[in-house]
Formats: sequence, structure tokens, C-alpha cells
Amino acid sequence: MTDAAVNIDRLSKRYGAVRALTDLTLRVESGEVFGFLGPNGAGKTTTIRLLLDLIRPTAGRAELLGMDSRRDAVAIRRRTGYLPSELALDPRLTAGELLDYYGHLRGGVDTAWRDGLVDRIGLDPSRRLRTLSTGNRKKAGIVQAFMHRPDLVILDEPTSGLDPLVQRAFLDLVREVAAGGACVFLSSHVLTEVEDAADRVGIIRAGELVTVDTVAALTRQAVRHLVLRFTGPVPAEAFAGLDGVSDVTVDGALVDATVTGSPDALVKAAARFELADLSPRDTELEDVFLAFYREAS
Amino acid sequence: MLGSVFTKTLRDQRRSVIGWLLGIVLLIAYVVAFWPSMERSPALTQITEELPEALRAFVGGADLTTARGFFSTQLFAFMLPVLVGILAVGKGAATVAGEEERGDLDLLLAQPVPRWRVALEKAAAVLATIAAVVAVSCAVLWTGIAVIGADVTAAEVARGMVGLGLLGWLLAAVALAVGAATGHRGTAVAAGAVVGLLAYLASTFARLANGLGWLAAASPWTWAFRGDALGEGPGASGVAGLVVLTAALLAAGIWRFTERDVGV
Repeated sequence: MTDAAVNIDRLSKRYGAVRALTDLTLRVESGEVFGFLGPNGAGKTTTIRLLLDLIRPTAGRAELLGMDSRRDAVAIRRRTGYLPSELALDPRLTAGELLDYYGHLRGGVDTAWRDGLVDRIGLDPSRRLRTLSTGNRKKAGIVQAFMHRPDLVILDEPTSGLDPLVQRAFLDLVREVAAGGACVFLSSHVLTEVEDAADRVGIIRAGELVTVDTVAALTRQAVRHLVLRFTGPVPAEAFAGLDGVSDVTVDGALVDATVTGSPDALVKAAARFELADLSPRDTELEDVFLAFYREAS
Repeated sequence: MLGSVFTKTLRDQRRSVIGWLLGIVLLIAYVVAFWPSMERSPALTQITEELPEALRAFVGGADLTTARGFFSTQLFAFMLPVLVGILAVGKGAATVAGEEERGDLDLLLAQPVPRWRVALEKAAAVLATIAAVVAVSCAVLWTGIAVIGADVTAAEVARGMVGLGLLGWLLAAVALAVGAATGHRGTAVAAGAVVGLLAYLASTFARLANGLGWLAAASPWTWAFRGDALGEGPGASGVAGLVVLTAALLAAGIWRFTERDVGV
């Protein structure tokens, strides 16, 4: 059997009495895009920084590309790309200089591939990083994470701050390198950001892995808030007792509902009235988890 | 300049270093320009001769009526060590701890370079920067002395500058080591400043008090300059003491840096 790209065995990290990560066991294969989801402060960044040997585990171990995360840290980093969530880049450098610097530290990179990435992501390499917006700095971070054709790419909240077009180019890139055999490990606190690209998703909360499943299975259980605005007031009874719908509040022409799984019943009930607008309220990942907590308790 | 951590760190420092150098050069030029009138003024000579012993010791203990004593006192007893010391502590604290606090150390440590080597190359760059500043200061002072024809030899200037540079290295090493060990820039600056201040006080005041000579002898400031910087200089034992202490501090700081969690 070949080595998994990421093989985490009961990895734990404590800061004094605070358990940042508890007994994380997880295996991600090469060629796989893995979405690592959890609310802020759940332990995503802790896990990623443990994998990169920036911080050291209290217990447990991790293997990346078949190598020990602590002993073989340098060899692992040679074949790994990393994008931190709180991306701080030397503001005095231009984006191009930053790529040159890290390229040199990596012993040179394929410049044609790198320049192709710069074009695809839409990074202006001549601009000083100080003058770039968060989204544009993130582009520089993405290019440096992929420019040496890593076998493992670890991306912490890669899409936050990116505009939708760049986000699409980025997800295309993720799928492409995974198709080429690389493993992409990406964290997010928003399911919709990773569901298009990820094969499997792991959900972490309060330092513990809650579940690992395919995106399709998770969306079946996902909880969403929908806001419906009608052209006139609607009766509350029309939205009572619908299949998969809970927590309905009807306020004149506004209906606010929580939907688990398919919104079919709600949409059919709404179709009887004249609908002015139908929009999802931002899905908090906490809500996606609710189903799991209910099952667990 | 972007080929290695060492050259990149040099590049990071170049702009502020040019400012410091300008200040140091102006100070040297000012003091050098002052000497000819000092030398010709019997009143000033008399005043310095009448200074109480304690006050003479405070400004370095040198004989102000000779060019060597004058430059030792005016430049090396306080002003140059303070300027170089502030530069050294600032750079030492900014280089690892400052970058860690800013957050851009994360991505650097994710490159395939061992952590100890990142810290070592950064430390080497800070020491090289200080050496360059002191070397330029040395050239400027020697040129100035040659222009006014003061009675100081090139070897004497070099001795003082070696002491100055090594003291700067030591203070940089304190700040860098504490910064690398803790990740806190403020702590690093404080450590460097406290060590510099204590070394200065031990070297000057302890010399005045009876029975505290051992304290003066234990101060790295004394190792660097002895009684008068241009006359005695650090000597072989002073050089050895300062170099060994600098290396030991850096080694300890870098070791701690490789062992601890970064950026938490």
C-alpha cells in the first residue's frame, strides 16, 4: 500500500489547560481534495501549523508524504506548499520579489509554470505588497503555495477575501493539481467555499473531529436558513408542519425558515404566493453541525 | 539580494542603517572638528585638569589634554556605544522576534530551510550590518584625524573601533537571542537595553567605588574599552570574552528557537 499524503494519528495539542486539538486521527490520500471545516477557533489552524512543524504536538504524530512531520520537516516542506490564514508578507517587497525570494530558498522553481500561475490568478507582480488589498495579497500567497509544483498543498482559509472570479480560478487550479496526483488540504469555516472542490470534508469543532464524509452526504444533512420575501403578507399556517423545515417565523410578507436537506417542501409551499425574493442567509457552519450534535447527544 | 535568508536580511536593514550611519558620521565629524580649538586652548586644558577624579572616571578616565584621550572620551566613552548599541538592540530584536510578531516568519519557516539555519543566517546578517557600520565609522574617524593632523595612529583608531563593534555584537546577540527564545520583540529590546545600561554603569561607577573593581572588571563595556578606548582597546582577552559571550548567547537563543512553538 502506498503512503497516504496526510496520515494523522491521535494528534493532540494543549496550551496549558486549553485543549486546542484532541486526538485527531485522519487520513487523506494523494490526488484528493480534502476540505477541513470548522468554525473559527475550532482547531483548524492549530492542526495545519502542527503539520508544518511550526508548533509541536503534545501527543500523537503525523506523517506527510510518508515522512514524519517533526523529524523530516525540511524534506516535507520541500514538497509542500502552504498558505497561512493570517497571511503576513513582507510589505517592502513587490509580489514578484516575494516569489523570487521563496523560489531561491526552494532552490529554483519552474518559472514558466510560476508565470502561468501569476496570469491565471491575476496577480500584478510589480506592485509592492504594502499597496495591495487583502485579496491581492492572498493571490501572491496562492501563487507561492503552488509555484514549486508541490505534492501536498496545505491552504488555511484560502478563499476568504478573494473575489468570486479569482475564487473560481483558484478552485480550478486546486482541481487541476489534484487530478495531477497532488493532495490538497484546505480549511474553511464556510461549507460553500469548499464544497465545489472537495472530494471529502472533515468537520472539526472544539478541537475534535466530528465527522468525515463526502460533500454530497454532508449537504443532504446540511442546515440552511432561507429568507423569503413575498409581495404581500402571507398566512403563517401555510408554512407550518412542512417536511424538513423548522424554526419558521412569519412576519407579514417575510418568512424566515431553517431547512434541513432539500428545500423542496418549502419552495412548493411558497409557490402558492407571489414571491418577491428568495435568498439564503449566510450559513454558519455551526448550523451544519447541528445535525451531528443532535445525533451525538 | 533575495538569494538567501542572509542577503534578504541585509537588504531589510539597509535603509535604516544608512540613516544611523549618517548620524554617526555627523557626530564623528563634529567631534573631530572640535579638537584643533580644544588643543590650542589652555583654559580648557586647565579645566579638565582640575576635574575631580570621579568625574574624569565617569567620562572614561582618559586624559582630555591629549588627542587620544579626547577622542576616547568624546566618542567612545558614551556617544558611539549608545548609537551603535541602539542600532544593535533594535536590529537584533526586530530580526526574529519582530518578524514573528508581524507574522511573516510563518511563511519563511514553511520553506525548506531548517529553522536553526534561518535564525543563524539572520543573526549573521545583523552582525555583518553592525560590522559594516563600525567599519565605515572607523574609516571616517581615521580620515578626519588625518585631515586635522591629530596625534592618533590608525592602529589606535582601529582598536577603539574593534571594541565598539564587539560591544555592538554582544548587545545585538542579547536582543536576538532573547527575541528568538521568546518571540516577543518588546522583551528582546528590554533585555538588550538593560544589559547595555548595566554594563555601562558597572564599568563607570563601579570603578569609582572602593571594592567594586571586580564589578567593573566583569562588565563587557570594560572588556571593550578598558580605561581609554583608543589607548588600550579591548586587548586579546577582551576580544575573546566578547566573541565567546556573543556566540554563546546566539547559540542558546537559536537552540531555544528550534525547540519552541512559533507564532502562538
